[in-house]
Amino acid sequence: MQTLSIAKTESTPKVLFDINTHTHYIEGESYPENTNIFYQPIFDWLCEYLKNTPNEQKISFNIDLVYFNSSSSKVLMDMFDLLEDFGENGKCIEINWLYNEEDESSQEYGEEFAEDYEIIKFNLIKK
Amino acid sequence: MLDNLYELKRQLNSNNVIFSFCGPMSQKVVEGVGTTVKNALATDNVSPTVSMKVFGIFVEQVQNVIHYSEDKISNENMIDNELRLGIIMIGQCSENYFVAGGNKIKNIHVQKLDDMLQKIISMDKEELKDYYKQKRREENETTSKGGGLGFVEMARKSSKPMEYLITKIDNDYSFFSIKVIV
Repeated sequence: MQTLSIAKTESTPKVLFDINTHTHYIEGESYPENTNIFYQPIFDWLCEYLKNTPNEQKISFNIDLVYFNSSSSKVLMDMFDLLEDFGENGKCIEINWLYNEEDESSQEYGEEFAEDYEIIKFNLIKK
Repeated sequence: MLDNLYELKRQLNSNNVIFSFCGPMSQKVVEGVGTTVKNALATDNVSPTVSMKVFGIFVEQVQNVIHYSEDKISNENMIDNELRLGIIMIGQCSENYFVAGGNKIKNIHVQKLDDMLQKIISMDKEELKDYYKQKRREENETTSKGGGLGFVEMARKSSKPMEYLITKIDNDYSFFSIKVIV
């Protein structure tokens, strides 16, 4: 298995899922024309990675999205659901939701996600 | 035509429209124009909260045209095979910004759209938040392109109730217009 690295574009974020550090990043903006086409390979990679990573390995995701559209919001929820499922099965996963203090919505979106998950640790971090 | 152009521009200016686009929409329009709008708002000293809301509503409206407009042009040489047409504008009204857009829809879809928007408009902030989370969970990407969730998203970013109008064109089609104020 190899590290997943996708470069940022105007409407899709930089994705860096690192199999060596187990610290992963999604950064930028997300409003692709077709959300499924962009995110399906990322989900496939993630499933494979989570199945192959030992439970004692701490895994963290840093989500730093300046903007995401409604269909990307759905994809993020699906991703957090998947992480929660693996959390239930013993994986040690934390999500760091980075928000811009000057953009109230970015904090609100993080808080709303945070209240839906119990097993995985969902941290809200001011940039 | 040429003598009307100035009149058209004056009409847009008198409605405080700062940007307008009418024609085939594409992802490139969303990206290029969206970024320009964000930059324009930033130089106008608009707060990041408001600027991101205007941008977000703009994206949802243009993507609605791209996914749902019944006004299409197609050409087998085109990469995406077809382009959907619509209209979008951003403007100022007193202290606020508005994003208005529209596209052609089928009459058979009017009732469903009307019911959905009535429901969304009747909700307060807290109800919208719950409905957003419920819809996000229900929506299946294989049967929907996310239009429903997009309207809830716009309603949440809006500071006043969204306004919309459905104008009958003929027996098969209507024109759907929506205005969202940030």
